[in-house]
Amino acid sequence: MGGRVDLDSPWWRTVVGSTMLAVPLIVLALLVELFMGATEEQVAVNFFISLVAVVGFGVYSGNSGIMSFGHVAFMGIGAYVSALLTMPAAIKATALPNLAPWVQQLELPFVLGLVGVAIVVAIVALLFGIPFARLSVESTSVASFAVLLIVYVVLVASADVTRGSQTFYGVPPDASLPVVVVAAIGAVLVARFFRESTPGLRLRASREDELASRSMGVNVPWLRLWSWVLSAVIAGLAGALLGANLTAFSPKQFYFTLQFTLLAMLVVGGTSTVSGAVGGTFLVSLLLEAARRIEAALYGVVIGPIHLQAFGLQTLTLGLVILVVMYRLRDGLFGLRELDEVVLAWWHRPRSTPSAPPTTPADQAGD
Amino acid sequence: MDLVAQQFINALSLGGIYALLALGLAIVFSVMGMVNWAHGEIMTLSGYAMWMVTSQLHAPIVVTFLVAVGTGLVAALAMERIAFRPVRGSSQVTMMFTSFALSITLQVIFQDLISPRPRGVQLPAALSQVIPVFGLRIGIIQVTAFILVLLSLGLLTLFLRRTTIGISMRAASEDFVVARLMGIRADAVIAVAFAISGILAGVAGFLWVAQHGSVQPTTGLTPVIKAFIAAVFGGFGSLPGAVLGGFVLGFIEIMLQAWLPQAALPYTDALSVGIVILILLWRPNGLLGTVTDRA
Repeated sequence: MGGRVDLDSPWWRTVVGSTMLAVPLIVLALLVELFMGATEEQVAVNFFISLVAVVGFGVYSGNSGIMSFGHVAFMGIGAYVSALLTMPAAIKATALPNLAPWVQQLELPFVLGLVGVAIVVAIVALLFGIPFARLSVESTSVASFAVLLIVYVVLVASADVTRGSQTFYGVPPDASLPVVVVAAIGAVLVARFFRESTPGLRLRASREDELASRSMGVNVPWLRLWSWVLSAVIAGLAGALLGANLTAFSPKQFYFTLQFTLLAMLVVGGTSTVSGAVGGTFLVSLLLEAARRIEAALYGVVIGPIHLQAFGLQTLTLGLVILVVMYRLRDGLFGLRELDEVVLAWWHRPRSTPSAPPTTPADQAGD
Repeated sequence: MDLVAQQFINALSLGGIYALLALGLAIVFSVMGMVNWAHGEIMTLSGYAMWMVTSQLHAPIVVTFLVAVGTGLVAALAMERIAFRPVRGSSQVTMMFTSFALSITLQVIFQDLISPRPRGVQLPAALSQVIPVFGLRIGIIQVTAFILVLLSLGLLTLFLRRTTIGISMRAASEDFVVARLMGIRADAVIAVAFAISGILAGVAGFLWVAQHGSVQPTTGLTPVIKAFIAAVFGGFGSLPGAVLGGFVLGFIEIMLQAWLPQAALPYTDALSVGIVILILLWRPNGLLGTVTDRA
């Protein structure tokens, strides 16, 4: 290979793969910014925040093959921690009179708030992750629900810090469209680099065959633990962005409904790739927005004696989308290959003899 | 001393409900490898059936119980036939997600067709009475719960040990492929597994709704999450483990409720589940789980 660029290095694959995902995202953001109204901009901001979260979930679930039903808990922690660190002291004094004085005085800029979120979420994720890393694959999935339950109960019960089940308000609206676009692209870069890196490759090997990878010397519990923490931190940052976008929220918003929605996005696109996370998030966001508009349009419409109503149309859409994908496309829309891998395979397809067996990337590298 | 004994009865009754649910989950998991998230909706359906027969027909309590159990049975069989057969034999994740999607779809259907608000279920006042036994005041509903749980567990043990289909099921849970090679019908074993889990969920649903006095679209959610945790705690896929896990979780929860200071009470659920996770750190395969590596 000599001085030539090594196309198979993790760095290069990360750069190419992330660029292929980032360009359409930036174009989308520009189109929304230039040609569309405030409603569409809000939908776009939500989409990019969901994207950060889903890509974050994928860092753990996609590489380890273990579904987590608890990551929204980390988003909840992210939203509350970020809000407590960045809110104006005056609002904190009225909304949370029993807050510890040193937290009350804090008025950090948003970026420093995010650093705080990353630290807190990493510690919490580590506490859960240590027992989880040694459980079997199915048991971890089931036990991850415990994270959601515990964090929700604690958020509701700690009324002095979170206002309990009441609405927490006055969060600075720091999640503008450019901020969330940058965050989404950053998440894609991190997730893709982790996937291509040596630990990521080992973790994916353990997903395909845990025994075989362990016999080759892969420390599976260790890798599961650290990918769990990394993905929790990304989810926590997504939560901070969501909090800054909502500006007022309650613990209920970081519970089952959001977990279902984001998991549907991950599954529809395909859990094992970053491209799948991006594609699935886009498609499901689009469907949910359509469902929301239909729900709103039908509200109050009366045909003869029937009052049309479509409460829960969004949830129903989610359920049906997951069922269709599970029955028809088990690996999701993108299957097991990243977008750039698909494009490369297409580029290197055999042209002269159409019946020849397709060449693998490994064969190409040997040329 | 009285307090301890009374809390002991409460713990047996709550733990019994968790045990029934965890057992149903473990039976399905052991033969099909499926984590059934829609298990709670079987419970909710039983609850709605109770609401219908009590509010519309003023049925006697025995009939209400039979209707709840029958509804659980039919609902579980229908779920298996309609929703889960297409994904049988696929990966854990596929099956888990299918049941998950079914669960949220059913919740929306309950909400739209029945009501998002709780529906009251009126049961005879005799059930909520308290009887004095040796100076203790024991709730009839708690005693009923415990007796029903013991009866269910006893009948199930007899079924699994004495009948041909029961023995086939135990064989299938050891090794499904070999069991089929020995001539055991996969459809029959899986259908019976769902039937049992449905009956157990029906009994659990009856007891839960009888104690809470109402049913709503999300009734099944919390008990089933706890049953899942109980099943993992006992050793996932182990039937005695599921029962033990359910009772231990019930005990932890009742003891915390009884002895936590007032200010810490809202944290009960977080603490009980947290304690279970801590114990898993010591025994990652659960209390009765064995160390198995799938080849």
